[in-house]
Amino acid sequence: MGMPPFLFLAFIPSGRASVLRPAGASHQVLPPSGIRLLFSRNAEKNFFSQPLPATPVQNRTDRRPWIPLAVIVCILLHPNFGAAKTDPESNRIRLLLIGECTLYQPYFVTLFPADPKIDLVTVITAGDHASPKETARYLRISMPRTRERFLSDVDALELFDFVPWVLEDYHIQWFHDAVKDYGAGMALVEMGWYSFYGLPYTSNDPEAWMKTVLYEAYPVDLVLYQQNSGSAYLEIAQGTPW
Amino acid sequence: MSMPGFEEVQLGGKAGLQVARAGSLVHARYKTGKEPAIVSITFGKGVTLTLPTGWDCIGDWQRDWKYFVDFVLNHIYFVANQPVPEDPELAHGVRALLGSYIEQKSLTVSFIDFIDRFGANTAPLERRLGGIEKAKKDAERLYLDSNYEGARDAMASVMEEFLKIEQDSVRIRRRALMWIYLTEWITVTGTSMLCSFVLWTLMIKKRLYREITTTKLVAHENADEK
Repeated sequence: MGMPPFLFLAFIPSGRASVLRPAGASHQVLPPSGIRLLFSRNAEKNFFSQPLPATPVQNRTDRRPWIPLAVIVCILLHPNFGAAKTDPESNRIRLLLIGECTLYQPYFVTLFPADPKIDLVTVITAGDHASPKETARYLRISMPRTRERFLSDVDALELFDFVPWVLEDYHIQWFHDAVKDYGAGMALVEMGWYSFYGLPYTSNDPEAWMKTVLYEAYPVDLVLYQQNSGSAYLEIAQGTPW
Repeated sequence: MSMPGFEEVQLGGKAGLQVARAGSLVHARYKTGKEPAIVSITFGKGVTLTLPTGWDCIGDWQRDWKYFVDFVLNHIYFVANQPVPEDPELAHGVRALLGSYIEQKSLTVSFIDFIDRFGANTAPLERRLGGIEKAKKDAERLYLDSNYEGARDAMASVMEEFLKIEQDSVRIRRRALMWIYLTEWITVTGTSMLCSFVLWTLMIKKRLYREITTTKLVAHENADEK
């Protein structure tokens, strides 16, 4: 998952602030705009390289070769360099778990707090554990109030078996923006159509989710009213990074 | 997911059909129908992942799987783009210690609270608990830096310290209880001796016994005359 340290040497911010995000071997590395490649054997041909205009700033840099070196050293020494989106103070993943996360599943709920890398906030929204009125209360308590707060305070989202209409439309838009534009991660647990003991039953209304903007972020297309083969066991596909 | 035994655990089951989108990565498929089960995709700057089985459906077969905890935690690491531990055994060891820390601390605090009620001096134990908390914070810092080996060693020392505190707590409890038993014994013995003394004095020796004078009916001298 992590980017090899020597690869960091190839990146240097040019002009505006940028975020470098390492990605898995099988995942596409997405350099933010404004990143140019240095020290690359064929930087001109590289996909990520951009031609640099001859500006006075660049000329000044050329006269003082220690400046880029100092910048690189500063970046390398920064504790969060190369890290994913985490809390800048604690370096933890601030996980917002929304859905069926109650004390009815103590085993599951107690797993996350035991891990120092995860800072868990739960929002109970599942219909079988919280009424719409209770859900609204939980949302008021735990959900960040503003878009800015949400985008800055949430590093990963987990949506777990609940319907979209308990949320406001802007919440779903925040989820979408957090993942797409701010690099937050999102796990969808039991969010597809499924049957319950062979009966056509679903409590998370995937059809309603499919109409939201968040469906764009789904890694799969959901096929409604069709079941899988029902195999209880899974097999690892090739090229699995974790 | 690369953890040993993944394919032998019931993580699937009946679920809605889903088709992996272009550009997605299929991590796991259902064994029978080969439909995609666990799939991820890079969406903009972030990663999204879908898992078919809910955590409320956790059964004994999953709990019995040694690495289930790691499976749950690693999927968060994955979507948050954090490096997943390369050595599952090592990471599992640290997580197991971190998990048992909460239980162990809860037990120790309860035990110290218990012996505190007997009037035992628990201040040294509480000071040592504070030290443990600091050591645990150090272990967490190592864990955050992905130094799992260092974190495991640090947590192992923390757990050893817990064991020592537990042994000392038991010793202090014995001492506290000994004084309680001694006080009880002295009280019971003293009461018994006092009662015996009173009993012996009053009933056997009849120390306070005083012979009473005989009562006799005195006839009125002039009764017959009347």
